[in-house]
Amino acid sequence: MKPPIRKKPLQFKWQQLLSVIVLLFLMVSALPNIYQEQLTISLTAKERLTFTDDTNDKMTVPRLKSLLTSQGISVSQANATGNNIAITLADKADEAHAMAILNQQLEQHFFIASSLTSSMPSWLKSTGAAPIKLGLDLSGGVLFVLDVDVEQGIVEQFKGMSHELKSIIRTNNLRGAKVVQPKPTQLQVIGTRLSSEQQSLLIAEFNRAYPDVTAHKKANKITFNYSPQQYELFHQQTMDLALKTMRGRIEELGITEAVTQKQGRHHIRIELPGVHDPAQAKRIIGATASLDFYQFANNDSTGVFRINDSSGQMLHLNPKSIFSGSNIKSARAGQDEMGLPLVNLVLDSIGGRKMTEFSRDNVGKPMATIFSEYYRDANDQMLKKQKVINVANIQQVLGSQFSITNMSSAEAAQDLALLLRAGSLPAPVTIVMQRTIEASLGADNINNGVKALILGITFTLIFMGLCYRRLGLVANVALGCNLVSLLGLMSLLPGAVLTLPGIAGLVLTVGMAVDTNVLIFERIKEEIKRGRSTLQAVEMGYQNALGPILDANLTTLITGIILYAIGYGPVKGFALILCLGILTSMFTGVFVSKVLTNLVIRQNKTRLFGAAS
Amino acid sequence: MFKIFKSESAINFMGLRKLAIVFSVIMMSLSVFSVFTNKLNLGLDFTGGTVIEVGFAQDADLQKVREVLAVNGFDDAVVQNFGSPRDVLVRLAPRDDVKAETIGSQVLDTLNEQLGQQVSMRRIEFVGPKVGDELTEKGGLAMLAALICILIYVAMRFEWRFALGAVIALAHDVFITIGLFSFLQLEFDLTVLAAILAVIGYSLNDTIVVSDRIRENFRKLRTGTPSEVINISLTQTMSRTLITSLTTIIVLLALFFKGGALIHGFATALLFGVFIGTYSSVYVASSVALSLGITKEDLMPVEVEKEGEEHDDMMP
Repeated sequence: MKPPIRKKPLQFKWQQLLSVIVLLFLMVSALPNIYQEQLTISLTAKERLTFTDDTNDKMTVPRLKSLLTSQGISVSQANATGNNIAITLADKADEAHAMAILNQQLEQHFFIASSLTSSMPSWLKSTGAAPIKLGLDLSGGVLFVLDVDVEQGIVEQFKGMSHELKSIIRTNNLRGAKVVQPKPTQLQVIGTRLSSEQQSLLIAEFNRAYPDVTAHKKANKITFNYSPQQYELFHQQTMDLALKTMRGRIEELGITEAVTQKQGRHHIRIELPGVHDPAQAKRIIGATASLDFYQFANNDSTGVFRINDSSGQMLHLNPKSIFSGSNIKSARAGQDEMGLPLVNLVLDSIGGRKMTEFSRDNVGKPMATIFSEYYRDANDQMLKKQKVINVANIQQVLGSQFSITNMSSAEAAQDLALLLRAGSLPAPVTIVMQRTIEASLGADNINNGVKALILGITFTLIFMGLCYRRLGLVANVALGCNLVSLLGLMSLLPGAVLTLPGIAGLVLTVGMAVDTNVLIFERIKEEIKRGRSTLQAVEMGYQNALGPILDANLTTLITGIILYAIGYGPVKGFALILCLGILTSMFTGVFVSKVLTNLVIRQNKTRLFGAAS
Repeated sequence: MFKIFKSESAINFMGLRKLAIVFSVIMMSLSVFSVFTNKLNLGLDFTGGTVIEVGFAQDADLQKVREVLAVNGFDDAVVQNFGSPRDVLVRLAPRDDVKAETIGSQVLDTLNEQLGQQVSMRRIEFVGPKVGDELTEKGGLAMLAALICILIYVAMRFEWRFALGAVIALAHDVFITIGLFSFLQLEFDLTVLAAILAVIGYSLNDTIVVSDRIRENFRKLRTGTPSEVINISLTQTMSRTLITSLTTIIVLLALFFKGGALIHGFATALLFGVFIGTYSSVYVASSVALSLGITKEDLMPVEVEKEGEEHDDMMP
């Protein structure tokens, strides 16, 4: 039954070499993790320093050091070069505290900025190696999960379409045609007197503005709706656009390490590590604001959009907006001559053309700027809240640059400018999950995890040593290699994040990784009992154990992959470690320990399991 | 030499088969009964709501925290220690308020103003009510998907009787572990769900190794009834089963005692799951395969040689 052992000296050497190369590569990748990240605060003088005694005193390095130390912040290093002072903190968790003190004392004289730097030696930095990214539960920070209401987005889209249809009917003088909306996602044009050509014209004009809507012609009505594919496309585009807008907003907020990704079908997950005060981030991320510009209703407009302005006066507007926030290229908060806050806008070419055309025809007439926002009421219904920001008479032909005045505060102007810069959301969003974790809790979590890991490893090493003696040593070295490889692999993968359940997975991997070696050693033991020579037993043991090892690990890998695909956040971190751990434990358990076993057991006289042959 | 397990002759595991089946059926029934009557103490991830973890400078007076919160309109707050007497966890059910996600900071402000001592925020979590429903659905789906994939893989690699045995053993482990959480009213959160999926992985690992040996022995041994062959196989793999379970239990104990409060549920589920999983791979999986009438002929496919070659190529 058993195949005879064939000697393959060449192949063996090749595999030995490959094992060593892979192992070395993963070791170098894991190396950055042993270097701490340091927080360096740099103070740059705002002007050529002409010191009063007071500032001169404060800016000397020893004085700065003692200032921070007196507040309980330990400084590991402080240097001055020219106009620049660099202070390295011993504990990066002190960042917020130290920045507050320095800002308070020295803001008038210095630009103060903080950055994280690694204490890695330069040769390692040059390889591009980086430490494992930590999840929010380990680094501290804020997490938001947003629900994107795509359905509402579609309803809004159909509202816009309805206005478009009405305006086509009006401009082409299609008498007797009526637009109805039997369902929120369906529009019909009913008109018994419409000729087939007129119907085709209507559809062609309409499809120019909305190319991805299907029209069905019947005797006296045309039905417009989304086919399932078009619906799916709209869903996807809405999500992509929402994701892009969110990334833009976060970038505008100046948060660089953020992770923004789609979660499930209609959720967006935003992780902001290092953010301690989520209030501003939340105001910006959760905002569903959009800005639209409307003209006042006149006789030939179809339907009227009524809204009360801040003084309670009702405005009658043309429901089709002149242009919307999506045409805005840049927006900047500023002040007018009176010092009142305003937002300066620059439109893109489409918006600029629309604005020029519109204002040319309407000089002297008023235009309303409407700010819209969505929110959920007590019954979890999505509601749209609209506010008139201002009504202004058009003084002249406007181009692509103009401003919105009448902002309530400088902060409101800042927020609106930021939101407009990042682009408006195609559908309303709501925060369905928020998690704020203090950095100190993250540090505790790491501490606990590492303690458990060290304890677990120590006992496993002792246990394996006692159980298998010489081979136990092989298993222990393989286990060490496994951990290093796993760390290396985690550092290499760009999307890999270490979370608390991930550390738990790492600990579990230690316990389960020895299984590969146990399976092999038990086989070797059996072969020796059967009376084979030591070297032969080792060969047979490795060979016979491979089948069960593959089967057992592959099935566990299946569960891991399902967990990774379906879980999210911390659980994904766990699943990832589990899967990578299976791969590395197969590599170290089979290949690396084979190499090691061959080094330890070189002749048949070696005693294994109390028997020498 | 230090030995975990030593036996020269086969142990009659299958002799205790009937007893084991009765035991397993009782345990599973109790679990199902407990889940229906006691329900599960579902965590924030599933129920939605708000959790606030705060740190006190001294040991916290929980009664006072409860009073302060009740007076200020948070009378449904559940207040408990978390990990240490200085850390306090406040849990609130989901509310219908418009700005539900701001409750966390409201509670924190209330505590800071009314308690007369400084409390520091450690963690605030808000989960909307709909997220939980989705998660429950997804969690169940994940487990079902895992079981079906495993069923298919084992059926292809081994034989349908083994596959059914393995899946029944896994379902057995999942039921009883969930039953334990329901019986002891331990909090069932997302990490526990992950732990249960890991239990599936672990238990499966064990079952596969045993099944692999049973298949090998059916092909190799010329004599013996199926029951005898299974006994021999279980005896041969017993040493490995015990050593692996022991190392896993050792690291899980380290995690249980040192891993911190956030990981406690995870460690509990796995620790218990490894015990149940080890038992089920010996008794449930093999028993089911035997009851379904596994014979030597079922495991003598033509593919034997091909498989041997495949492994040969991969040998170092």
